[in-house]
Amino acid sequence: MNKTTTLAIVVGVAACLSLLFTRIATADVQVQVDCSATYKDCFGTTINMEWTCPAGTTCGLAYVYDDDNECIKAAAHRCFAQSNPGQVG
Amino acid sequence: MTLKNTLAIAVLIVGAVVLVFSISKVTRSTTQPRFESIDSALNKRSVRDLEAAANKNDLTAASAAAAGRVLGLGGGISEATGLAAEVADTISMYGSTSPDDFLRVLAQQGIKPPEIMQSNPDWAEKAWILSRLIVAGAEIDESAIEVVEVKNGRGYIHPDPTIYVNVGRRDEGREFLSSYPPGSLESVDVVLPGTFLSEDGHSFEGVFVLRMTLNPEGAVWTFTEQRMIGVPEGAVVMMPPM
Repeated sequence: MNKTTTLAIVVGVAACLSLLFTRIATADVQVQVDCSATYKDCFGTTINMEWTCPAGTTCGLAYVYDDDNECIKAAAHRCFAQSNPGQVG
Repeated sequence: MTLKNTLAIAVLIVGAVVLVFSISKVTRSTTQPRFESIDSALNKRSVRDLEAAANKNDLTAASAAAAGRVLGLGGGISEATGLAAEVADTISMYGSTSPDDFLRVLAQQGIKPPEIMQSNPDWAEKAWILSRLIVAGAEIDESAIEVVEVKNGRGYIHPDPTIYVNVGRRDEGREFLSSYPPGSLESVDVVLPGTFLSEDGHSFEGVFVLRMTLNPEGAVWTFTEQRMIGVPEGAVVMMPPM
């Protein structure tokens, strides 16, 4: 076996292993983006929210505001499309 | 050039292309989360419907079942009779249509009430009905209620590690908590599985968890944390006052 053949086999095996590793790694990355948010509601309770969003989206928080007392009454966790945060949720 | 060498060069080129492709894919996949706050148009259901749902269940069956589970735990829990009574009262207070029972139970457990209930009692009285919807509007599965001892700060853990968890605490009203290291006090989780209703009309399978902690000063079991597990994406939930 000459040098070129050996090199080709080494690079080929490395590429296959790399592809396999990347598929596993990107599978992990693609299923989730970790999100968290904390706020104090109208009753003074500290609410901590933790959730995950699919890769390619951003974390978002929708809330219901009480105008009389200027406080957040309720909230929802959401995942927004990166191109237009207000449209998806 | 021999056939073997041609084949080797072809493998080399394909390998290099695959390598470059896979590295660039990793680079594209790593994105940083960004937060955006929006106002939400709510109430697919009318407020009247939601209030009716919140007033439908007085939680008597759930509170009795949970107290029964506590007493069935055996001798491992301190002040088990007191814990059963406080668990029953804590669940029942959310079944009441008036905040009076809530205030009574807080006083009984040595908890300072939310400041807004004194500064704006009219608002609090009105807000009470909907603020307890997530518990009072639920169909609790009484046969599946569990009581789990908390060890080293870890109590009930949902079998799905990716499920959404919403945690509420109001430590300001529970001054004894600041006198002890976190996780050092005896605690139990009261686990209430069921079908829950969000403010914007989502119905979902979930688990509401009440954490009760023994206050060593007076040996009173005290409601210290609440968790709503399983809220679907986008559903708007108000955690009940505590």
